[in-house]
Amino acid sequence: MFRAVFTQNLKWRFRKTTTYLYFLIFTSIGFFVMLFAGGAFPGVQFHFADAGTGKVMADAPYVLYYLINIVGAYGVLLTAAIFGAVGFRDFKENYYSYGFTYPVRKIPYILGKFSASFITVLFIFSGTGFGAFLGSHNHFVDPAKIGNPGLFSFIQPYLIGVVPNILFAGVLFFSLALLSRKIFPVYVGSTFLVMGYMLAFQLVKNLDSKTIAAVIDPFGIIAALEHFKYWSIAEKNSNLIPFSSSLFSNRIIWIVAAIVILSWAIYRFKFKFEHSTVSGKLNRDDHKLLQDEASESPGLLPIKAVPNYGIIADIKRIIRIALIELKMLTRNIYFLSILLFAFLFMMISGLKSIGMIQGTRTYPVTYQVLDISAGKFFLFLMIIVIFFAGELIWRERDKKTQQIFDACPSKNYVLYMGKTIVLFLVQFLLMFFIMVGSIIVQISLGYYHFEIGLYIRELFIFRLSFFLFISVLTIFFQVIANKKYLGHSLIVLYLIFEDLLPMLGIRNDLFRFGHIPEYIYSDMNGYGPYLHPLLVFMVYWSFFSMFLGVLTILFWVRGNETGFKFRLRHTISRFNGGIKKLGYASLILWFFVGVYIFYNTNILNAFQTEDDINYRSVLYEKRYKGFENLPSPRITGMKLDVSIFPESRVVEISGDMILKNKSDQPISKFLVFLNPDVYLHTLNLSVPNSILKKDKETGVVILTLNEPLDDNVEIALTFKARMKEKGFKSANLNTNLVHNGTFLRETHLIPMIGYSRNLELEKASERKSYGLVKRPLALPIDDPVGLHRNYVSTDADWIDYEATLSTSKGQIALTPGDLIKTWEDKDRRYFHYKSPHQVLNFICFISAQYEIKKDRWNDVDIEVYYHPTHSYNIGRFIESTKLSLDYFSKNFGPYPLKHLRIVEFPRYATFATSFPGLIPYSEGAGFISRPREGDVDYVFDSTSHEIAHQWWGHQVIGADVMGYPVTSEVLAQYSSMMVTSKKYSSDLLNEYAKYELDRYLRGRANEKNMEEPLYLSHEQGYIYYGKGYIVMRNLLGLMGEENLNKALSIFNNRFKYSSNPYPTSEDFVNIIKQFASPEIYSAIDEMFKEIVLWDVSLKNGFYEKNKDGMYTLHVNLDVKKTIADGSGNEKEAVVDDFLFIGVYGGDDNLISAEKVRVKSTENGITLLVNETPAKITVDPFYYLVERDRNNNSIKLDRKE
Amino acid sequence: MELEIKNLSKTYNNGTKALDAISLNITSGMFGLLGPNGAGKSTLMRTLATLQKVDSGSVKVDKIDIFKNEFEIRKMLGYLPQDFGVFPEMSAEEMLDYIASLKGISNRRMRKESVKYLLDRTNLFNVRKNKLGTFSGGMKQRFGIAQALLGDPKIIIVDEPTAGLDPEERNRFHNLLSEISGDKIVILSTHIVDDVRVLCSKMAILHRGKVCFSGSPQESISDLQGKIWEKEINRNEIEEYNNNYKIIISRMLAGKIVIHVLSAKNPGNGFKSVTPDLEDVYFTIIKNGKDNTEGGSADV
Repeated sequence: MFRAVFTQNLKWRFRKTTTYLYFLIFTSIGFFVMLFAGGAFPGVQFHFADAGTGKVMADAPYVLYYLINIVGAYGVLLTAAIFGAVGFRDFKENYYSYGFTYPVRKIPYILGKFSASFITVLFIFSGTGFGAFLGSHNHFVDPAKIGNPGLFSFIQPYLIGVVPNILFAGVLFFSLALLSRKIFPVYVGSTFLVMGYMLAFQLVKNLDSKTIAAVIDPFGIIAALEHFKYWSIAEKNSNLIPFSSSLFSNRIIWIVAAIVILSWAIYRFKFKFEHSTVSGKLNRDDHKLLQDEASESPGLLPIKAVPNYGIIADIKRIIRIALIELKMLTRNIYFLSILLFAFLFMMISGLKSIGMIQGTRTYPVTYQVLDISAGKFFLFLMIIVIFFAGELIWRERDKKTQQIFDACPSKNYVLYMGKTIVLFLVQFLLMFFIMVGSIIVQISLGYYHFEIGLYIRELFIFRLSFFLFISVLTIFFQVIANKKYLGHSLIVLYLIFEDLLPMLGIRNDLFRFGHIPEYIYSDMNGYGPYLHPLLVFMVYWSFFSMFLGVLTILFWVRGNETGFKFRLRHTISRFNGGIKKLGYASLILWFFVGVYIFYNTNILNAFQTEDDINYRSVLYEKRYKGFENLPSPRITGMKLDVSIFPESRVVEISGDMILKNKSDQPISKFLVFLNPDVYLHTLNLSVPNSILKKDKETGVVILTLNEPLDDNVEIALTFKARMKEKGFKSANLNTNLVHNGTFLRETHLIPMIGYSRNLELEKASERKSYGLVKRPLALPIDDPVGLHRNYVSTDADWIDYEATLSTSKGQIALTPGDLIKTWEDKDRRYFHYKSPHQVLNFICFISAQYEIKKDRWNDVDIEVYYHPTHSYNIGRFIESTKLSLDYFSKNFGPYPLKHLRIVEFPRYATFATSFPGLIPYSEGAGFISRPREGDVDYVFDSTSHEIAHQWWGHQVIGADVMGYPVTSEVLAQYSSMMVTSKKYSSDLLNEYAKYELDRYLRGRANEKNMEEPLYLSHEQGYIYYGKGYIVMRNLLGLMGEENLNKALSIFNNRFKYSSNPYPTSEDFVNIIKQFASPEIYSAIDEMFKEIVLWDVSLKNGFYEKNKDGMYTLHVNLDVKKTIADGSGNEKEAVVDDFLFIGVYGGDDNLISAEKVRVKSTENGITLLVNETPAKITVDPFYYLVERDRNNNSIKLDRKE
Repeated sequence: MELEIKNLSKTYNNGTKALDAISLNITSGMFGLLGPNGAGKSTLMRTLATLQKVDSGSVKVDKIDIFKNEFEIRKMLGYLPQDFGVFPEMSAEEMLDYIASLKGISNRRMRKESVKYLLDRTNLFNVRKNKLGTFSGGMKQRFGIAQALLGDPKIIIVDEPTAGLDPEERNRFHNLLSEISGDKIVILSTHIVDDVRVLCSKMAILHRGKVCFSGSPQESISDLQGKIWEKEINRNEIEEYNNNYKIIISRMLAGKIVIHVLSAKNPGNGFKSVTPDLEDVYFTIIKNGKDNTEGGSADV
């Protein structure tokens, strides 16, 4: 009997062409991912789970696991469709009314159907692996990107991932269909599962809940990801997925869950006629009805109802339709449950992750909350639009009432408008819902500054618009397709297609239906430069939507003949009168607004994509690379006049520069570069010269001198330039020059002298696709050219700097230097700054409306310039500044200035950076953060970090060679750690270390090329910030604060303002060694010059109480130390190191921390402490780079 | 008021000729459209209800071409489809009110009154607040007629309204229909002869897309006067009679079979003359149609 049911259902599925179509789709996904990642299409930038552009093989087991399981996770919708359809089948076809009378037993019936679906889905999903196999075994792919890991790598993802997943999801949907005898709950269920999945991912963002998420993730992807989060390239390429305990328990949990649910479904399922709908026999209600019916009639008289067909009546009807539909929707249990789920989802993710930076949250300011809540709601809104547009359009036909309604004298446009408006209304209500939810989130986070105006603008104008446009499109598809599920598929396919458009090179929002340009809201600058394009684009798509509406009305399905051909014929006869006028009008208006946009975004402004900007760099390099080795004069001084006009978004700059020939050869021609978006009015030299070439495309001007410039001779260069915004742009907007919060850099406005490799295209893969030669990201550590320039500017060493800035009256303009004088003239405000000592050519110009908070440390004026509503962290900034200035000047050398300014800028960028005496700090990075008791106070820490750059960066600057961040970023990391340790507990410092360690380990796991040891690090932040922090901590432990600081102070003294040559990381390591004991020399070398990974663990620990009241501890310490190469291949290294061991008492208080020397992989350790020990930990302060710290601690038992 | 149907033809994509040059003139009063399943009744009804187009021919209501003025026709139309559903989660009153507003009754008070009136007329007044999902077949059918009557239509088209109703319900339904006709055109399609007999003053018989008869039922009956003969026979004799006589009706009666044959003169053999009724007319015409296509001949 099982066999009969099984084969019958299997045959049914396999007779359907869709089964093969799905298989084909899955196969082609696997196939094409492999082809793209395997480099079959040179020049295409493709990236999938680390494969593609980097050194991870396309067919690495890790990539295959990820690919097959991610496709499987999204395929859950398909699982739902197939299991649901099989479960629902007998009810749909009404077969059950007689089929259930056959002598079929329940268990074989259910299992037969279930197994048939299972085989079908497994067949379809096997397509991914099959396609991946084909895609990686052919001669199109680059053999260098294929590792041939063996057949099992293609099968394993199914065994661990896909099969249990189909089992669980299948059981769920099958049971839903079987027990509810409806198909809709299945779709809702699958949506919930995907959403639940997103929620799990959400939870993972927080480090602590990862284990829980790993276990409860029904797809087991998180559990697997937890494994390879620290995997190196070599491991990803060769290791199969280890079947770890968390993955194992995850799989067991979900298989058991599947069995339980299926058993319950079998138990609950009854072969009987359960009817919930209309026709058929009478139920109790009906009897009651019949009685009611029989009662007296009120004997009403007929009334003459006058029908009304005018425009007012039409509008009334539209409203009526909308209201009725809305009422039905609010009675729809599925709609309500999606809503409830969405609300919970919004609350949970909102409360969990708003503004999380390093585990510390920001104040829930409106835009932050909206980013999260509206962002998370996006998918729900989409689902609601798609599902309920289908329900709306099909309402009459689903209930077989269409003949009644179609014969009513209501015009098609009335029906269309009614249904469209209700869909609009739902979106509107949902936006309101988001607003309420967001405000609740704000209240529950104790934040009461409600910006209702901003909510309204953001939700009901900008975010709503897209959904309204998509609603129109969805209804259009439903009407054209005239099959509900085809309509759904069309809109989903369209949305996917439209998401892929940028990959196909179509990035212009003009060609992406419903899109308005991406924008960033800033508290300081509001919608700023985005406002105008946003509004124009909304008008543009409104007209197009109107046109779509006209088309939809023309194709509206009415009556019994619904074939497309038939409707097409009748469309023409419907096209007359008002609809005709509206159709033409909307099309023409749409076109003209389009022309207006195009004129602004593509003619007034060049429409620039990433590629276009890259292309400039390519031209620059191809045309002028020859100048790199020619000497050019270097800037030694600069005097600027910068006029900022924030209202009109114009900057005029004029400047005098002193150029000096510092090479020992005469110079007769050199190159000057200025950002080609800036108009260069004049460029004059103080000596006779001529312009050899002016290249507008790249912004290069080549000057030839009539008389060659001799060594050590100075000339003057004067220039005048103007930056101006024309019309509006829809992409790559200039967010540096804005109404409030201008933040411009020297690279935006000041000519650069000579060729600079910093302007070349950097990414290796991009260089390859443009046919540029391979080049290292940084010069070798002993490069003679690199050693004689610093890494921040190629055309200057230490320069004299002076500037007069002017801006509009309400704003304050800032640039590095002492403020010599400030005055007002007419409606302008002027500021004259002059730097008291020489600075790097690393300058900025800022202008905005500010409140200022002033304070003092010794004779230094501390000033914080902030947006009036962002006063939250002023105290922290000032405290950190004072403590930092104090610690740094005591330990490294004096602070050279009489001022220190911290200045807020809009969140178009989210960083803080340090100029001499001036620290711009993004409103998105620290001004709204809200560290609480026990949180990592990154505001305090990063302020200190930036102040440290006043020493490490603005006094000592590294040479332009590999390892350059060591003398600035690594030392700034160390310096802020020291200041933070003066204020916060050592436990909290451990939290910082945990984050930095995680940053490093993750960073190296995601490395696409080569991991460098610390002393050669350059572009990779994870090395110099993350590993740098851990290494400096270890150094601190090994050397002690005093010794280390002494070394740093000597280093600072030795290289302060030095330029000939500039210091390298090598110089730094050498000075450190002078202050370290020789026995740690090898440790220092390993820390800086190798990639060392540790695995230390404790076992067999116990303690005895001695007669003198002291306690003796015995513990075995295993030490494994490996040294990795740049790709992550590890080999074991000899152990002879100092490690730290911490002993903790009963309430987790640190009793003692001792340095022990280990010389072997296995060590017996004996320690003496004077309190009752409870726990012992090796490496308690995170000095070592260790991936798995789970066995670093053990509890101690007393032994008599 | 006059509804003029001229040469309507419609062939479906699958080759079925649903309407074959149909011409009819329908005036005020109840008009019965009788025919077996698949005769083209519903196609004709849907065409009159503006839900379907034809390949050729025209339909005019007081000289207004319905294919060119769908909207004008819909204004005067009340339509009860053969097979229709309801919104189960709405109450009868609510849905009627909704349909009324779609029919153009924009005045709220008027709409309420007329909905109430029709609910009363269709005997649904006391269940007006109940969900339509709980209605029985007969109640649903009466609800159908109520919605068709909304907006005081001039032309009412009811397609197979009595199918599936029990005798009591059918009776009630007949009463209702006959009450409303008055000065309106009411077109009732059915395959149940009784419906027409009880209700209609004019009728047409449709078979295989063609009008086989049109006129008043009395006329049709008088044509058969003296030509219908009845006999009670045993079950095993039926084949023999079938070969020898033109049986138009055979029905079981208490274990025996009663047959009607059509014959201009007395066929003898125990047959006795009976007064023809509409059923005889109907089956005579249907049988003739069948014989025609089979090449046989009828002598009426």
